[in-house]
Amino acid sequence: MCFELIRVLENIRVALKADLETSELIHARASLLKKIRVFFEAEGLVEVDTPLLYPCATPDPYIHHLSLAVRGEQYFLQSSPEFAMKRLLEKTPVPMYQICKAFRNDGEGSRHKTEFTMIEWYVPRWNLEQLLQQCIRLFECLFETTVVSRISYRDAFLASLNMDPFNSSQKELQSCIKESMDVSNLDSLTKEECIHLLFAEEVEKYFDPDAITFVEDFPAEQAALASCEKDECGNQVAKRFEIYFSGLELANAYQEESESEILRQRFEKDNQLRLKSGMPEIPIDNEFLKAMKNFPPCAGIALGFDRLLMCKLKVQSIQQLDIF
Amino acid sequence: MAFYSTNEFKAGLKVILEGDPCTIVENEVVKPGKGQAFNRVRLKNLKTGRQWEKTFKSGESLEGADVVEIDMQYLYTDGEFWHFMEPNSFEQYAANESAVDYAMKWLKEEDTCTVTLWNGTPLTVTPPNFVELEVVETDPGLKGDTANGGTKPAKLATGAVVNVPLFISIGDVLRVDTRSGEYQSRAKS
Repeated sequence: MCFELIRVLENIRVALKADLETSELIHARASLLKKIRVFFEAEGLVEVDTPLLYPCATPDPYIHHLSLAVRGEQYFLQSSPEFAMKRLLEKTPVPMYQICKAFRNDGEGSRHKTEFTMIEWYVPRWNLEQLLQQCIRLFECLFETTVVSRISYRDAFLASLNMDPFNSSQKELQSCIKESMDVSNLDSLTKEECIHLLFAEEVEKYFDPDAITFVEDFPAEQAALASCEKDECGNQVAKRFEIYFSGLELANAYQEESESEILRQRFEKDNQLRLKSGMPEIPIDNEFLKAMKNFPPCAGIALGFDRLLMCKLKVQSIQQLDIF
Repeated sequence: MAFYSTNEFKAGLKVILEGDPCTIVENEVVKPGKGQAFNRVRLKNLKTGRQWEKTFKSGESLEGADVVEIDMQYLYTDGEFWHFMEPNSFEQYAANESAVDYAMKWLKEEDTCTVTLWNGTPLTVTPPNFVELEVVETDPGLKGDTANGGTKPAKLATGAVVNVPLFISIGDVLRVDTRSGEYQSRAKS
């Protein structure tokens, strides 16, 4: 009886608290969105809107798409507006941004939601360094902090684990994992998968949560749609950076690769990987590849809005931002 | 039994890992910006009670474990097995020593316990949070000493030994918290 009463009171307390949080949340969300729009306007970017329902998707071997049938045709809820925005850029090469919903059926956790809000922008004729400087200006505008830290992917591994991700064998990486984690079927993890796990579980911890950390020069295997070059050690690296802040991975930027044949080969390789791990093959977006023919040199980036809001509100879980 | 993939892992799901039934306590997705996702899963071994973290590549699956918790009445022990009865079906279950484990010293006939069954066999027994047991052995009580904080050991009818205030005597019935093993009060008769 007494326990029953306590439970009822607890439910009332939680309900009241949730109501307060809802009001706080919608205002924090609105204010952050407004600041971002004001920033982009001042930087000369135009806001665009592309379809959420799209007949193709990225064949990224690690993204599970949500697809649905529309009048007998397969469509995808976009995992990012990248293909559609690049098609727009080919037609109208002006700096542009979009704030939209994106969907990834990759499991939910304290940092992942199936449906989330993404900010994606592109600046034609810019290089990655110009985009990086713009990100610093954006963060200075949104947060009080101005501490910036820059590190290459390789140096981040060396500093945190004393391992070179480019020159370590699968066995060496597996034994490094074994030191700090209990992993099911560790022996079956590929070199690539070991690197991904070590980066997410060990290397990320090393970044100063109070600094805006730019991780640069990713292994070429992780290029996705970025162009590649050789670094000073002779390693093939992707011209990409990721932004880490408050212990969260917030953004992912590319010097965009526009050679359609290179992209087609990457898509085909990705589809092979998908099939190997039991995921459905994704139809290649020929409209997108066609658009690459007249695509301007360009730098582009995707920033997770919900995670940005987590930093702003200093909450530990993305689920705390859930109103519904 | 069905298999569950990492994206179906959630708190409370019972699975079999390395031959033992486990319950999932927490499941966290771990993923670099671009690349393979993993699940960092906190599990509790239902046999040993041990909790630990294990990482799975997303998409791996584990076999579900047929584990249920049922409130049952404790009947008696024959020295080798402890017998419980499901009060609705009157079906009886025999738990061995490793299943009864620490619950053993709190089991009083007719008390209701939670019995965890794995494939229909008792895996663990959880005694009620509070039990009332009679003192069978303790130093003589000090009459009138009801306030000063001294304690002494007292052996209860089930064999459990608890620290009790000095005024407790043989024959008193005590209320004990089985989670902490601490004396609460004299039971109201």
